[in-house]
Amino acid sequence: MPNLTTSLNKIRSLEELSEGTTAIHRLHPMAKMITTIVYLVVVISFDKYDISGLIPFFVYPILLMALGEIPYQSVLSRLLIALPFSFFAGLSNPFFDRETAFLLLGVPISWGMLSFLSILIKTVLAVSAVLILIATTPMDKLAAQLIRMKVPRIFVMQLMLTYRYLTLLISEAAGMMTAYHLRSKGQKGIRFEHVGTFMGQLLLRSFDRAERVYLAMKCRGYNGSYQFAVSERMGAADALVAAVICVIFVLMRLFNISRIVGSFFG
Amino acid sequence: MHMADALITPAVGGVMMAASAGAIGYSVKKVKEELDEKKVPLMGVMGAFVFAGQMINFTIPATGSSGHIGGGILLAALLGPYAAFLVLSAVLFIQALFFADGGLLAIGCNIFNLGFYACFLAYPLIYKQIIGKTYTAKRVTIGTVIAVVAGLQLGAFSVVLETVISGVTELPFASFVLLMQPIHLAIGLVEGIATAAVLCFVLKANPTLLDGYAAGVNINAEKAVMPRKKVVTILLVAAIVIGGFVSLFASGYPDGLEWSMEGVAGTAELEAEGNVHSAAEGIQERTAFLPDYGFKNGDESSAMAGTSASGMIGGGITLGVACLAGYLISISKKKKYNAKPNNVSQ
Amino acid sequence: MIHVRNISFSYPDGNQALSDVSLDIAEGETVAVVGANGAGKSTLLALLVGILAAKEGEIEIAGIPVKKGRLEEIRRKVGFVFQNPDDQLFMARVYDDIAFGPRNFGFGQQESKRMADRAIEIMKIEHLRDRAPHKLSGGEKRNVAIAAVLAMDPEVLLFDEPSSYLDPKSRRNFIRAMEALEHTKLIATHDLDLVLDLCERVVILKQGRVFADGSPMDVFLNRELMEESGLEIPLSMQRRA
Repeated sequence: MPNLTTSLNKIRSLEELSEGTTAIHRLHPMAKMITTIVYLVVVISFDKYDISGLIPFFVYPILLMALGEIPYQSVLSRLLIALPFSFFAGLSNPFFDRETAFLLLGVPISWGMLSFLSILIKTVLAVSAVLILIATTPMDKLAAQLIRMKVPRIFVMQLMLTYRYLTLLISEAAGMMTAYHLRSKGQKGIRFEHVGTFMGQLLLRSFDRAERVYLAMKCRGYNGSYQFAVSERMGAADALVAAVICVIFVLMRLFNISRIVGSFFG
Repeated sequence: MHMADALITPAVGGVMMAASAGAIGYSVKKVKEELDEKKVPLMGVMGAFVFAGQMINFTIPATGSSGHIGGGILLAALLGPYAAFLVLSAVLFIQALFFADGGLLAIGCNIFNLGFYACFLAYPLIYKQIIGKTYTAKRVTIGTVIAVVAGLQLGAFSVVLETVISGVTELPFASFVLLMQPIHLAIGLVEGIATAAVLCFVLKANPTLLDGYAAGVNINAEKAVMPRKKVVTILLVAAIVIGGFVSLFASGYPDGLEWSMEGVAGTAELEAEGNVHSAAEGIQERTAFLPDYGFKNGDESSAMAGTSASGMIGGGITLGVACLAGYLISISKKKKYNAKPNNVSQ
Repeated sequence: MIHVRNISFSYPDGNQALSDVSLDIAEGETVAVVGANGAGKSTLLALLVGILAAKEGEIEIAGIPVKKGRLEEIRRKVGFVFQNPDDQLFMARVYDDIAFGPRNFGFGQQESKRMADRAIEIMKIEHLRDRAPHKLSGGEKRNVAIAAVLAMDPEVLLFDEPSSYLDPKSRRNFIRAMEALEHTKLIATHDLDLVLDLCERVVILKQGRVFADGSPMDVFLNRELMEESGLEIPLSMQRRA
């Protein structure tokens, strides 16, 4: 689990990014959601040995990150979290699937290695796609879009409130950790016997905060129903862009672009 | 335990999404029925709390490693199962979006694995049964630990099923299970004890915060602190149990547990493959998203396409062109910004 | 405008926060409520907006009794600015926080927008409209919180320790903003210099009772009174030896 300050920075940097004004940012959230979902489905639908068919799909993140001015480092830090599980799960592939597929410069490459590579590539692509979505769409626009898609309001309110108070809670927890560390013998983490009181305190404070937020809501007329800004309809232009991109993805899935390009060269 | 997109197929992802969506819909209905307006801000702040809480590491005595609290049972014990499920779903959603902790298509799997079993099975069937009507520190502790362990065991097993049915990895069912379950038993114990400690603290400080608590039941405030010795004892017992379990299995199934790769690859894998994989194949074929590819286990044609020389070359060229395009776009954007008289954003 | 009659209130843990408090505040007055910690200031404000319910006594604001069943009307007329802006700004976007009130009271999207825009204009925070509340500075949050309350077009404004969380410049900006508002205002505060700048009347609470009620100059210059109340005279009135 990431530690408190890195998480805080991660959220803040994503928030900064999402406030950008590039063409990608201005694209309607629905269009971005659709293209992201279709992209993900198409990518993970690839057969486990098909590497060259996957490669062209790098075009999407590379282009969009450039157009959306998303720094490449952000992908890397997120990959650090996402890759380990995929890595170790996929490691079984070269172990169990040992039949040689072909020779690369005299070195035998097994089918298992290929499927392992496929898993890694898919992970990178999937993580990038989600990053692009969240780095170009601020949370409130995402929420407004979910409302439009008839996601239950109470759930969307959960997303918004959790997101809203996340950085605050993390800061509070970080403050408590610092105070704890300064009075403990310089060890990392909290001692087991203190978990109850430490987390318990944070919990009670959170309850108090929730109470005050509730009162603030009541004072402004809250009566159980959730009023939100609803996202506007997706325009024809955005819909067209999304449709074209999705069609391209499907075509790329059905026809191996790498082979086509390669056939011109040998 | 968060599943990544790359390890599942669209079919599995889709099915689990539908299941989770159904559970969410039902939970929404139940929470609305409670007509408790206060729940919504409380749920929101609790979500943030659990999120932040999972980032706080505590050291486990006698092992030197660290752990952290989970969320399912803790939330259920404070908010009730339906609200807790909604909160967890929201937390997982944000984790997937902002931290790449779990994939977006796999969100259904994760919500189900980490939320459903804890909130709808472990909490009502274990925790609440053990508590009954009496909220004592002892009951809370025992109920919590067992419920957390059970929830995690079910969740871990779920992960195994989803991974194996997807067939993207070559992990054989038997070995995977034997790897996942004991690990999550240990994790569950740690998480369970930590969660119990927090709940006992709440029990002592303000018991009305606990879901289902009614004034006038038995509480024994003195026993509200978890003594260190008890913790170590529990862990020791757990270690013995795990060790015994594993060795029992080992003696019973020498083939299946041979950790040398040859052994497993040679014999046990085929056996395991037999039952589970053919069942999985059946499911896959019936629910295949794009009819072309079913449960491929080394299909010749696509593999050939993937590895032919032209394929490799073409792939490289495509990638190169993409990178070049990306680079040129970035350069032109930088030029545009530098050309502006007042360099506003960068 | 505000009529408090013989109000008494005690918390569940037994703390008798207010005893037999009576108070009248006329329309357009800006009144400060001061006192030592625990004197009952915050409790009084909470009672005025119906967050707490008094067991004894009555409160009437703008002709409406503050009691169950009429609370929605009260909250349309009375805006409460909390001490901690983070408790009050819970949406992901400043504009949504400001529009929250009007939307809840049933004004449509268009009308809510008009009311929110007006509040934004009054507080001069147009540049904050699309920002995320949790990223703002203390002063900016304070202004947004006030705008969020103003959006419902109340007649009365209550402030609980408004100058806390503010650095000197923000505090000065807050005072300026307050001077421009013509609403009836009740300000619970420790900041006696703020009282000097903004309020024509100050009420001192001591142990849950009204201890003094008069103009700031009269009250603050009375040394004995101040000492008995557990207060110190405003910093700007103190002399360095």
